[in-house]
Amino acid sequence: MKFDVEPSGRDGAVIHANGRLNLVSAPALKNLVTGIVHDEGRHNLVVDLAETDFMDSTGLGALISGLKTARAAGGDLRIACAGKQVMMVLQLTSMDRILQPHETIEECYE
Amino acid sequence: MNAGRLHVHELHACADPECLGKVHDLLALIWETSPDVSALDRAMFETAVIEIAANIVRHGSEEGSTFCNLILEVYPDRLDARFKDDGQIAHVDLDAAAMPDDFAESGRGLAMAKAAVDVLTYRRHNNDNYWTLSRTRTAT
Repeated sequence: MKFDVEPSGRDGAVIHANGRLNLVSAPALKNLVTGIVHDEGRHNLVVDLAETDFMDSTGLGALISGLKTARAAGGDLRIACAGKQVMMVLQLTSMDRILQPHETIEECYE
Repeated sequence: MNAGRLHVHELHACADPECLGKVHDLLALIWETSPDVSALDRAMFETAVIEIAANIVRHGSEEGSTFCNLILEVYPDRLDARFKDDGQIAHVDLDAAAMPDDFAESGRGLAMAKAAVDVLTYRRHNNDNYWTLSRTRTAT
C-alpha cells in the first residue's frame, strides 16, 4: 500500500491511499495520521479511498484511530470515494454512521 | 461432498503477513475462472476469507513458523473456503462474536466474517486449527 499526502489549506491534508488497507498497511496509516496531526499541526484530514482496492477490519481500525486522533486535536477525519468493497465493510459494521462516506474530496470540506 | 463443484484452488503457505497477498491473489484467480460470481458475493466472501487469514497470521505458533493450507471452492449455489493451520489454538467463541463499541479500534474481524458468510466454523483437532466458511451465492 502506498500513501501520498497532499497538504490542503492552513490545517488540512488529503491522504491518498493506494492498494490494500489491511493488517500489513494499517499501522502505517495510523502512524502517518499521528505524524500529520501532531508534527505538522494539520488536523482536518480527508482519506481518499478511490484507489483502495480492499479494506479489512484492521484497516477500518486505523481509520477509527485517525478519526480519534484528529478529533482530539480539534479537527476531523473524513473519507471520500470509497469503492464497493470498502462501502460494504462500512455498512456491515454500521461504521458508515461514524465514518460517513463522501462521494468526492471536495464534499468532505463542505 | 464435492458434487457439482465448478472450480477449486489451493494454497499452502507460511502464515506470515505476506501470505495475505497470496490469498488475495488466489481469490483473484478464482474470480477469473468464475466470472459469473456476483460482485456482492465476491466482496463478502473475500472479506470473510481475509479476516480469517489475518486471524491465523496474528495468532500463529509460539514456536516459529505457522503453516496454513487454504482451499477455495466454487459451486453453482455457494462459495466455500477451508483453512487448516498448525498455529496455536484459537480461543474464539463464534456464537458470541459481535461488533464492539463504535470507537473501538479492533475486535471486529470475526463479527465481520460471520456477517459476510452463511457458515463460519472453527475446530481444533490433533494440534491443528480448522476453519470453514461458506456463502450461499445470490442470484445473478
